[in-house]
Amino acid sequence: MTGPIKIADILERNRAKVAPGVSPAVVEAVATIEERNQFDDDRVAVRRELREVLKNETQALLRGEETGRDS
Amino acid sequence: MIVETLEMENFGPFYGLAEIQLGGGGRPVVIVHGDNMSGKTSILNAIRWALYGVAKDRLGNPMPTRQLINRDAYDEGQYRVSVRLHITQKTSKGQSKFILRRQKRARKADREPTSEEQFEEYLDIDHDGNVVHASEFSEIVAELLPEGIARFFLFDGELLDEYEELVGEGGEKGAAAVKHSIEMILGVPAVTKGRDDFALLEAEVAKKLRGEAKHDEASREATESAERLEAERTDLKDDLKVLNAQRKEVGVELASVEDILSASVSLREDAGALRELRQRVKDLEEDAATKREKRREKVRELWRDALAPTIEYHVARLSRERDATYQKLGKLREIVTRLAGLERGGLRDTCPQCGQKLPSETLKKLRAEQQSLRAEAEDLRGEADEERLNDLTAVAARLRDIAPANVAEIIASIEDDLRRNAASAYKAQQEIKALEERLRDEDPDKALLYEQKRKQYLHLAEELKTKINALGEEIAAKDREIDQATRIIQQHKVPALRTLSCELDLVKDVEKVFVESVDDLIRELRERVQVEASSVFEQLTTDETYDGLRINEHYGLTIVDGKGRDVEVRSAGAEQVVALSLIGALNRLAVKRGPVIMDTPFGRLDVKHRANILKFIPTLADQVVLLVHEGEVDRKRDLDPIASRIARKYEILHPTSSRSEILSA
Repeated sequence: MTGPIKIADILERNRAKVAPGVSPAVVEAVATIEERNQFDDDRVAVRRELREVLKNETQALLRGEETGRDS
Repeated sequence: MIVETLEMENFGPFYGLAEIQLGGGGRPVVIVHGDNMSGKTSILNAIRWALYGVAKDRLGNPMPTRQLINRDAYDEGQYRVSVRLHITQKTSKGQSKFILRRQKRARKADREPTSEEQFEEYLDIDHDGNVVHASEFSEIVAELLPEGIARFFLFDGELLDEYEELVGEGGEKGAAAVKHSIEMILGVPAVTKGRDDFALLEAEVAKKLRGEAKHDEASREATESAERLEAERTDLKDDLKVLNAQRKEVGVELASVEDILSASVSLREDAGALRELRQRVKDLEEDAATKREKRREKVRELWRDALAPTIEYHVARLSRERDATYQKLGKLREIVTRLAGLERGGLRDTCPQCGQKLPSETLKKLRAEQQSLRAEAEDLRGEADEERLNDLTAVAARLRDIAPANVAEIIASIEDDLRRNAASAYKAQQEIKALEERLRDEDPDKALLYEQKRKQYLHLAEELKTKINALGEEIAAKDREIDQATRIIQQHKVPALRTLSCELDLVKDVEKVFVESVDDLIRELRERVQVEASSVFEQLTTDETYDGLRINEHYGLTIVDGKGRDVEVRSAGAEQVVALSLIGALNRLAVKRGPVIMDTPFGRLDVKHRANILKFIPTLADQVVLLVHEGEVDRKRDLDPIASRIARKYEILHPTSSRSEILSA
């Protein structure tokens, strides 16, 4: 019981509820970034990291679409 | 994070170098005993100042550097102050060691600084033996213990006041800072900042998409519409920026006016206190003079104590004699009355009432009685003297006035009074000195001038708030319209825009997850805080009829009784126990752990609560430093039960008003 709440758990629960199409791995990755940087007021570097996650996931989604179409 | 050692130079009452080892090697508790004004708060302030560059006075206002420097050192021309912290931080690979030092010194070493600007700040960092550039100081401190949550670690009376304000009627606004800090320590920023990051990323990707869509014929109309809306939104945002800047300026001015007002209030209070203390010293001096005079008089009467046994003997003798005389006088009065009766009858042969002749035998008896009474009266007249009786009474009374006198006891009691008087006068003089120091170069009448300014700024702030809210609504409406235009572009499914469109959908979905999670997280955290705080409260409270605590949306906690009812009235001690329960719960749930340093935390607690809290404190954190005075924590009774958890004990000695020393106890 004791110890901080894991943000990733809350985000995952809501991912399943409001955005089931988003991969759990993406939510876990962004949760880790946000947890690590929650006391950091310089958000430029944080958003750079987030952009990287989004970019990779977008590529994966597009590849998935193509694979789906081909098969 | 553990603060292993604190080194101070000319900080507060600590002249020259002072060092205190706070690391316990597995034992969490360090106790520092010190009288009021000896420097306990300065230890807390030294740690706070070293980390964040801010030390607070008793009202919670930042202290200027001049006031941080030890007075003797300053008078000797040492215009510098510094604090060094040796810190150990647990890491995934073991532990890291940091040495952080903050120093402030006069820009011109040989000239007395007259303003804050004439001091220069120097920061040194050593990380595992490597020198780190000073520009990284704040970042390292934020990593070790962010300032926003420090209030739950560097714990003083102010936190309790703020917390009590939080739970008090209408106190939500005033305690907003505490609520914000609570959410920070619990990890809410991970979600709120995430939500804001994704809102910005969404705007960024949408803008890119619209930029690319310009080249597509089918999307042109929607693109142009979005561009026009964006231009309008940019104008609105520019206006908003201007208003926000104005609001910020007004806020800064208001804060500065409130600081001055608060200082003025304190100044007025201090000036009032100074007047009262001076009057008190005068009263005490007059009282002492009266008592000394009384003592002189009593010393002159000491002979009465020596004569007391003799006088008591004579008083007893005179009293006996007086009682005998009184009785004889009474007897004589009776005889005289009887004789008068006999003589009124004339002892004739016939009864004066009925006229019958008296028998000769009766007449003879009456005459014999008359003769006997006359003889008895004659005897008594020498002794049953009324004047003698009065003299005896008066002499005995005069002697009683003299003894028993108990003059020696009275003198001893006067001397006790004089000692108490001298102690009170000394304490008052010390307080006068401290107040005079604080009031040096101050004008106690500036409050009135600034009250007017405060009202103007408050009015202006309210006007700006209304305008900003209206602009915010306009911008939100534009956002919705731009979003609509962007959807139209996406619906055209232009192949060249496929990647950006897919990225936009993704970023919107993730943003939705964050938006949805903020309230969930806060709700869950509140429930956890309630459970943990109740569990701590059960350990701390001495009232078995209490069942636990109930939390409200501002993290205010209410005691609940066995029937589930709120306990509405609670004592100052109960407030403190509830506040400590919250702090205990927050430490259990915190995303960052740090040393808990408590300044005078037991002031309002009774013996049983204090014992419960002392038992609980070693479990509060890996390092707990208690800065206490003798009346709060008894070295034997209170500390013996937790002796095995105490790493070190110190005592602060305060030989002069401007110097203190830390000794290992």
